Amino acid sequence: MLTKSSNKMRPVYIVLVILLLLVPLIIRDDYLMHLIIMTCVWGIVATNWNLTLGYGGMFHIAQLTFFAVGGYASGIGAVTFGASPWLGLLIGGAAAMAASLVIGLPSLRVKGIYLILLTYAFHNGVSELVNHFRDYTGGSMGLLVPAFEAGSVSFVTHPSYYYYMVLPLLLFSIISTRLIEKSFIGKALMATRDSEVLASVSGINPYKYKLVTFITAAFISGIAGAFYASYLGVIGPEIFSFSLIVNGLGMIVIGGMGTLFGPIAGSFIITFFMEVFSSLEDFRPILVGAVIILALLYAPNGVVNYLGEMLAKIKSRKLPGQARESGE
Amino acid sequence: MQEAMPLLEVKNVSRYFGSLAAVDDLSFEVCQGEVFGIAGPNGSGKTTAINVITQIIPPSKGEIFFDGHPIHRLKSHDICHLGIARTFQQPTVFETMSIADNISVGGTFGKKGARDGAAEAEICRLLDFVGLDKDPDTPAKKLIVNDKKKLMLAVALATNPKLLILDEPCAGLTTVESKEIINLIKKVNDLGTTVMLIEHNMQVLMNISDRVMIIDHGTKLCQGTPDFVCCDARVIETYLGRNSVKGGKTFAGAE
Repeated sequence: MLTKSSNKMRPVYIVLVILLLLVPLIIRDDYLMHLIIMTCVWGIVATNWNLTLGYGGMFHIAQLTFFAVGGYASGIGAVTFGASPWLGLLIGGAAAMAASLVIGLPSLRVKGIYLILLTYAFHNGVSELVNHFRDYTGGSMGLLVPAFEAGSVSFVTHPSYYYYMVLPLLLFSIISTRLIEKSFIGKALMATRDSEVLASVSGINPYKYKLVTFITAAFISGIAGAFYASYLGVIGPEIFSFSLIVNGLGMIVIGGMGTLFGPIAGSFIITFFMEVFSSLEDFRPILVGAVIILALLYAPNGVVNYLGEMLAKIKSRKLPGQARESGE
Repeated sequence: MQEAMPLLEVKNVSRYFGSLAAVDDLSFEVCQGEVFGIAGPNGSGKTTAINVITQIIPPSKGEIFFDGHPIHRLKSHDICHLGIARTFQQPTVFETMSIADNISVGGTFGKKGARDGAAEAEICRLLDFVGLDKDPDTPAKKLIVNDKKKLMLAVALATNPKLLILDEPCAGLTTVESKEIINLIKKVNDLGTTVMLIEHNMQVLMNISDRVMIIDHGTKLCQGTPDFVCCDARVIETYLGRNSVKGGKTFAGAE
């Protein structure tokens, strides 16, 4: 009775994964590889943000706080305590989880504009902490984070190594989102999004399921933050900028809120346009904003939903033709 | 019927919104197996009373017991786990989910610790029971009001409740659709589920209720059998109106 489309799509997904694995063999240009890696990083953040926002209806901006906390935690771990960047990934994930508890426990009791404001307050609070503890965080100068190494091989000269690190994390984000969506947690989450009151009187504890998802999404974003810091070699206070919040939300909305692949499509589009407009410096956020507005005007439900609707239209047009061919 | 065990006991419950007492020192009992009707003028506190019972809004004071358990400090989902399900005046469903998934939510979370969900056969049985002849994969947002009301009832029944609370189940429905819902309520009650319902349509209420309570300004005006309530001078004065009693016939006798 319920959808069997995922089984039908399995071969397509397998081919897609194989193609993704072949990307570094096809693309030899380091700059293009960098763009693809950044698309993957933002894809991870947007996918996990979408899990709470798109599936759970929690309108918050804490995902970037978790990303920043993960980056700074792994950076501090490496610089102050000499932890390897590999261990930094775990430190980043754990720190983001801890932050999600501190933020989520009080914030998830409210919703709508109150949740946005509370999480924005926490976001600014963490930014202030970073500025205050500048001995550890580097303050406005940022923190130089060591690159990943395997034995004596530094990843800096091998972008493809970074790609093979970030790709599994992106795939893990997609798969975990899918598994949560299909599990009783996803059912509770989507029911709560649709009607929190009806969900409550139907036996769902909305707060519990929101918090569980919030923490899960924070953990993966924290790891992504740690990867980001080590990949770029630096993490600075610009990670808390408002334009990054707009870009992150734009990725989800442009791609398709509450869809599995929407945030990745959105992160690809935003990263692409960020680079196209890179020479325009101060005008870049305005132009990216214009792209978001245009996308919302022409595909208000997101690019993925728009493409799905187009495909359905094409299929429905083909059907009468097929009927004629068969002589009906 | 009155000698049956009380399933729900509401004791001196009040709910204040600032200085306004929406429910004011209200006490009543709902007995096992009965259909208990609640009526009253607009703004008399009927919906607030059931919102307080199901903890959508907590009571300001008073106690509520269900099946012997105090429930006035529990959360809505815990109350559902004990066996109270409810519907809303406005057709409220999980709009983006399919009909099957809507019912599955009730089956999955309706009982504490239950995670199996409603099996396909159970979903079909409930759809058949409420008379919703639609493809279970249809998105709930595509249903018309009457079908949404049926689906809302199916979601509530999927939690396997001991007490089903219905808030104006016939509101916004045609006469034919209302009759369908009334028959459905009778069927639910015949299977042993206690029913408590708010209804503005007095003919409906008087015909299916074993006992009726009239509320006004958050307090109980009168309670008893439909015939008794309809003859009460205060009820006639404040709610039914003098034209409701013609030649000795009351709503209870009307078809």
